[in-house]
Amino acid sequence: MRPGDNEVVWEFDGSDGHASVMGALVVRHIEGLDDLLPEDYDDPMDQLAAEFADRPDELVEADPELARLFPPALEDEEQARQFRRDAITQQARDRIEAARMVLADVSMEDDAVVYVTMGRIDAWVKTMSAIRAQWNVDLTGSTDRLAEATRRDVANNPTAVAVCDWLGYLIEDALEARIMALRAGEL
Amino acid sequence: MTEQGVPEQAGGVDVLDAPTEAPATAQQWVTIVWDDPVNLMSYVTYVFQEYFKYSRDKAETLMLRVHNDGKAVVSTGNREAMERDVMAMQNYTLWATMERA
Repeated sequence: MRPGDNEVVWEFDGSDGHASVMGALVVRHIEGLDDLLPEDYDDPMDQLAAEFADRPDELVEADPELARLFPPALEDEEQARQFRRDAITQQARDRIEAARMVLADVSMEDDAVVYVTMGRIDAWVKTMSAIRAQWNVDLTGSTDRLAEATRRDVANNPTAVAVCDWLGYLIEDALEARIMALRAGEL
Repeated sequence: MTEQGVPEQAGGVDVLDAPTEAPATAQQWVTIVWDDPVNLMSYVTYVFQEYFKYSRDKAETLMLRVHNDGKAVVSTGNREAMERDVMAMQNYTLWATMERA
C-alpha cells in the first residue's frame, strides 16, 4: 500500500545550521518570484487590471536566474513570448506555493531533523531543483541550456559549487528515501 | 493523451468521410523535454512518473532518451493539452518545449 500523504518518508538533517541555510535559500528564491506577481487588490476588477498591466515577462528577460526557470516554450520567438506572458503568473504562484511548504517545514525545526512527509516531498525536490538551477546560472554566468561550469567558474565561485553539490545530494537522498518508502508499502 | 512518449504517426484505419483538413484544435502537438546538465537523472525520472503517471520503466526509458539523444517526446495531444504539459514540466525546472507533431 502506498504511504499516505502524512507518513514521513525522508529526514532532512537541519542541524549545524543547515535548516537556516535551506531557509535562506528558499526565501531568496521566493523573493525573486514574488517580483513577478502583480500587487494584490481586494476588488477583483482591479486585480484583473493589475494582472494585465504588469509585464512580468520583461522582468524575467532582465534577470538570468529567473529566465532559467521560464525557458522559451516554442521555437517561434513571438509565440514563445506570448506563452510566457500567459503562463508566467500562474507558474510563479505554483513555485511560490511549493517553496512556502519547504520554508514552513524548516522553520518549524530549528537546528534539528525535519521530517518530510510523502505529501510534501514533491514540493521539496521541486523547490531544491529550481534553486539548484538558479545557482548554476550564478556559477556559469549563463542561461544557456547546456551551460556547464568551467574550472575557472568553479575556482571563482566556491559558494555556488557548494550549494549545487549540497542540493544535488539532498535531491538524490530524498528521492531514494521516497522510493524505499514506496517499496516498503508494496511488501 | 495518446500513446505516451511517442508522437502519433499517419496511417491506420482509413476514415472515408474525414474532412480534408482537421480543425486546429485537433491537430497533434508534442511536448519535448531537452537534456540539460543540471537536472539529475533520478529527478527527471521522478517527474515523468509523478506528473504523467508513467511506470518506472517507461519513465526511465524516456529519461535515458533525453540523456543520450539530447531530447525526448514525452507526450502528445492537442495544443491546449501540450501547453499544460509544457507548463508542468517547466514548473519542475525541466527544459520543455512544444511543437507540431
